[in-house]
This record gives sequence, structure tokens and C-alpha cells, in this order.
Amino acid sequence: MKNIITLLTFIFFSTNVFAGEKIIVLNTASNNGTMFSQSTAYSEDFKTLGYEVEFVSPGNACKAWAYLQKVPSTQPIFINIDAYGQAKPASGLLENCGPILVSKKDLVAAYLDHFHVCTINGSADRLFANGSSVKIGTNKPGGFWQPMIDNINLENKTKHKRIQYGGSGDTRKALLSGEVDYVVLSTRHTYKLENAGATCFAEFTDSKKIKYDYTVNELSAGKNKFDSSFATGWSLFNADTKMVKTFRENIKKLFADNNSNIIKALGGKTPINYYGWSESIGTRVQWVNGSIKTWAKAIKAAQ
Amino acid sequence: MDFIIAILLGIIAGTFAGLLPGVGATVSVLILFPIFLTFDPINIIVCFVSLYSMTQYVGSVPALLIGVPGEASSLPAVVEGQKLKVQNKISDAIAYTAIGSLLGSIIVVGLTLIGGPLIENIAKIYRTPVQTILIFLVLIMMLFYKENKTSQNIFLISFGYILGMIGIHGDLNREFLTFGNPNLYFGLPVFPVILSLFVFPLFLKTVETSNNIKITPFKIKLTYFITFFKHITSSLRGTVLGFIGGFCPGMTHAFSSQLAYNTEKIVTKDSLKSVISSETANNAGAFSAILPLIVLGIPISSSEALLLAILETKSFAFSINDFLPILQKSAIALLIVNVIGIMIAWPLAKHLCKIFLCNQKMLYSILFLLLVCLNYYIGTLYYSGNFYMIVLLSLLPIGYLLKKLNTMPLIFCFIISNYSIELLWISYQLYLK
Repeated sequence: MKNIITLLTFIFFSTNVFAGEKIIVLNTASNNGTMFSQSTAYSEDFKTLGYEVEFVSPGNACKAWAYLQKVPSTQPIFINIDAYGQAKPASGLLENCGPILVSKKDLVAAYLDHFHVCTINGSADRLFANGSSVKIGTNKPGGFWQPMIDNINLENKTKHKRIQYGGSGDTRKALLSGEVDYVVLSTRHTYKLENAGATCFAEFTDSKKIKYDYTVNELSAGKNKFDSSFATGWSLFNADTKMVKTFRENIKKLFADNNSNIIKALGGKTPINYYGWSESIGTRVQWVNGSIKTWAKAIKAAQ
Repeated sequence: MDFIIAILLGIIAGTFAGLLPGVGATVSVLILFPIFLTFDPINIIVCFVSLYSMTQYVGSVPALLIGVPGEASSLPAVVEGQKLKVQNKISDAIAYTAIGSLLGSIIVVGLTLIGGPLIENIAKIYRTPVQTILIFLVLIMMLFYKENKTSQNIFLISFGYILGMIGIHGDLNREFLTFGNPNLYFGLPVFPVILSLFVFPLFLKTVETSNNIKITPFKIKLTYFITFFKHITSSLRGTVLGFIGGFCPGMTHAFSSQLAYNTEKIVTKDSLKSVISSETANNAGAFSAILPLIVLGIPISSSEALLLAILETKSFAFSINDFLPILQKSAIALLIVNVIGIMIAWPLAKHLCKIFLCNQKMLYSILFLLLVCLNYYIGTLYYSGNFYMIVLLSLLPIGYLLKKLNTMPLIFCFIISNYSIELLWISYQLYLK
């Protein structure tokens, strides 16, 4: 009996002493997309770093926000904050869903991305050729994309028509089926389109070029500047300054390691988006919160 | 060796997913996620194809015998199973649907491999007009469902649309019947809706007519392969329609079975032929549904989207230039699964038949209670156990009131509502705006 009690006591203490610090990894997006795969990859990486990880993926931003309200304030939680997911509650049209914003205190990493133009058998020429008329497939929100197409039409004297699809996958299908002539999609989707035989060529930004040599602004004859930049942040809530600092360093190391799960999830090479490791935390906070604000404004404008 | 392990894992997972209602391909892939991380990308796809096909095989047995749909694609089998029990043709149905599924899969795989490079052109089927015509063709067929009056069908279709449209749509400027409740922002969950408005009324009807049901124990006979030829036309029709229907985003093989079932109801009006056609169709559709992913990297169902997310963690990207080896391996896996499918489905049917020796009222009461527990469990997987129960309990009284009707048009419209409205909106933008 004494031996059993000793053994149980040893097991109890050993599991508590040797177990790493517990962190929750919360995916705020759907259970079948990019954010889900990145969250699971981070979970696996954190486990190898010695943390005890609980992965939670409630299925959407609203449920994730509700879950976050129940987490004790002493429990560190690693969470993805993307412009699309948070723009909806930030627009004020969705109650009891957030928004969740990042701050200098908790932001661990962030990336900047923007949209690109792709076509199945055309070139950039028709998009800006005086008098031309093409169908351009876009995703939501219409309030963001319609003014852009209107400006291209006005400044280049074109007669383009915008077709709005339900999601990025639907927009890709529309281009591949020949239903539209051009589509405007984010970096991740342009890779998939290129694998399916399409050509992508210009970046829809007025800031940093990520993948192609030209921006839409350089091709367009107009003076209006187009920018579709959006950012995603990863924050560690309920943690002290030291722990946040450790996470920033660890994530940077994970990105330098070609065998880390997060690098594999991002394509097994240099990440396709701009992470700006040398940029200040303040700048990266501005990317994320700024793009949530921009896209929220667009959603509200569409009402 | 890994290839065989992948197939076996798919068969085991698919058998459970087919038997347990609500545990479809998506939930199975979520459960298999840690194992998938240890597989190489092509074997993950092979495992998924095996799982997907096996759910169709096994799912038809409880659907026909007990009236429990393992997946949305089994809804026609549930409705016709009840009639076939009264006609004492349930054993024939189980045997012929399995043979039909095998035949359908062989034809589809054969044509796909012969067609090889032509498959590149499947993208054209995703033109909005093609999809719109397909969806509304089935909708029109449902309007003239013989089991209900046309006015009742119109009511069921409208009610299905209303339920399906609950949530927030488009650019968030169209909120429909959410009452500010975040649980409703993303719509009603499918499982409690099917349980309360399809399974529950059907169970009530089955219990009421249980005195007329005489089940002959299912015997495994090789002569079924010969007598099957009386129904080969229905099976071939199911193969063609199922293959086309599988390309329908969001619904895939569930749409295949509806398309084939409704067509067969018009052509032959025979319950046995209808169920053979629909079950052949969902197997053919299970293969065509995966083609857009393999060839173009486009997922058209939630389980495929999840699969793609997993494959991306393995640095894998589908490419139009090298899809043929994946297609060939998937085809081989599908053929193996179909042969094993018959070997599992028939003995399974033999044992399930014994259940009917029990008291019918008690059997269906226990079964329904189990489904209610399952409803809660599935809800908890999405952190919404209570919400799933509230939806179920709120809709049960309506299910009771609808017990004399065939509620399949309601369920079909509930599932396709948002997609069909989106198709109309895109058509408007393309041709009228």
C-alpha cells in the first residue's frame, strides 16, 4: 500500500514538475482554411518547444471571441487576428463578436499581404487599354472592390464589369472556367491559380511589392492610388512581458528553420507574405489594426 | 505498404463514418488529422478517397434497414427503404445497391483514366449557368413529388429555404432571422435540422406502419450478381447522373443521389430502381467530387477544404501538370475499396436485419435517443452542444406536424438555399446588370 501511495505521489509531482507551461492556441477562423492549418502548425511547434498546448478551434470569429471571454486572465493564449475575421465585428454590424485587436504589449508576429491580378490567357494590357471591356471576378466585400473598379474605368476609360463571388475558391473557379477574364486574389490563391495554369502579374498595392515586379498603380494611367493591403497578427494574451519576448524570439527562430511545422504550412520555403521582422512592433501593430479598420469601413460602406 | 495502410485506414474510418449519422467525411478527417501528419501527401489523398467512398457503401445499409441516414446522400435510401420494407424487397435493395455502387465506380474510374488529359477541362462545368441549371432542375422535379400534394411541396420548399437562409449573408448587410443571436449568425447546423425534420417524422411513420413490415433475413447470395442485370439501366443512369452531380460545390455526392433519384422517380416510378440509381450515383459522385481538387486544386466540399489545409502543412500543392499519378493511385484505391465494400456491407446487413426481431417501438425509441445524444456530441465538437440541442428541441414539434409528409424537399432546399441564391446573384451580375 505504502509503495502504491509513494508511486502515485511521484507520478503526481513528476507530471506537474516536468510538464511545460500550458498555453492555449485559439484559431479564430474556420476549421477548413489557411488559418486552421497555420494554427495547428504553431501548436505542433510549441509542443516541440516544450509547452503543454491545448488547441481550440471553435469554427468562426464569433465563437472564438465568446471562448476568449471565458479564459482566465492568468492563462496565456496564442491567437490569430486577421483583418477579414475582425473587420466584420469592427464594422459594428456584428454584435457580441469582438473585435479582437492587437497591441504593442501582446503582438508576437504579423504579416502583410495584398491582392494580385490574375488571368487565364490574357495579359495586363486589356485591363488598362482605353475602351476595353472585361469581366473582373472579386471576392467580398463589394464596398471595397467596386470603388476600385470604378476608378480604373474612370481613369483609363475602360468599361469593366465586376462580378462578386462568395469566396476565394469560387473566384478561382470562375477564372479557370472562363466565366471571367481577370480575378483579384491574395498571394496564397495566386500560387494555386498559377499551379492550375493561370498567370498572375500585378500587385494591388501602393506600398511594399511582395511577389511581382509591377503594381497596378504603375500600369494604370490614372492618378488614383490603389491599395488592397491587409495584415494578420498573432498575439499572446494574458502573458507577461518576458513570455511575450520569448515567443517573439521563438517564432523568429521557427521561421528560420525549414523543418518547422509553420514553415511547412506556409509552403516549405521563405514565407510568401511579408513578415517584416526588422520592422518595429509599433509598425506591425499598425498593419493589423489599420487593415481591420480599412476593411471594416469597406464593409460598412457596402451597407 | 504505406499505400495499403492508407486504404485500410480509410476503410475503417469510412465504415464508422457511414454507420454513425452526422459523422461524415469532415468530422472523420478532423479525427484523423494527427495520423495524416505522419503520411506522405499522396497517401493522405488515397486514404481520403477510400474513406469518402466507404461512407457511401456502408451508409446505405442503416439508411435502408433502420431509416437512419449516415450522410445527406442517403436521404433517398431512407425514404424508399420504408416502402421497400413493406414490399419485403429490402434484401434485394441492399444487394443491388452494393452491386450498382461497384459497377458505377468501375465505370467512372475507367472513363476517368481513359479520358486522362481531357479531365483538365472539368473547370468548364463550373460556369454559373451550368450549375444553376443543374440545381434548379432538381428543384423543379421536387415540386412534383408524388408523395405530397404540389401545394405541400411548395410549402416544404419555401420552409426549407427560410431555414437555410437564417444567418448573415453577403457583405453583412443582409441579416435574416438571427435576432442578434451570434449562434445564428452562421446559420442553423445541418444535423439537428435533419434529425428533427426528416428522421423524426420518418421514425413516427415507420412505427405507425410497423405491423405491415415483414423482413426476410438477408442472405448473401452470388445469384444477386446475375439478377442485378434486370436493373442495369437504372444503375447506368445513376452512374452518369451521379458523375455529373458530384461536381456540384457544397453538395457533391448528396446532389448526385438527389439528381439520380428524382430522375428515376420520373422515368420508372419504382422504389427499388430509384434506390439502386441513387446509391449508384452517390458512389460515382464521390469520385467525381474529388476530381476538381486533384486536377485544379479546388476543394468543393468542407471535407476537401480541410484535406487541402492538411496537405498544405505538408508543403504539397496540386498542379495541373502532374495530376495523373495521383488520379491513378486514387482510382486503384477506389476499386479496392469497392470490392471490400461489398464484403463489409453484406454481412453488416445480415446482422442488422436481426434488429427487426425486436419490438419496433422500443427499437426506434432507443435509436432516436441515441441520435439525440449524438446530436449533443457533434455540437460539442464545435463548442455548441447546447445550441444543437436547442435547435433540435425547437424543431421537433414541427417535425411531428409534418409526419404525414415526405420532407425531403424541405431538407434539400435547406441545404442548397444559400448556394442557389448565390448562383442567381452571380447570373444577374453576369448577364443582366
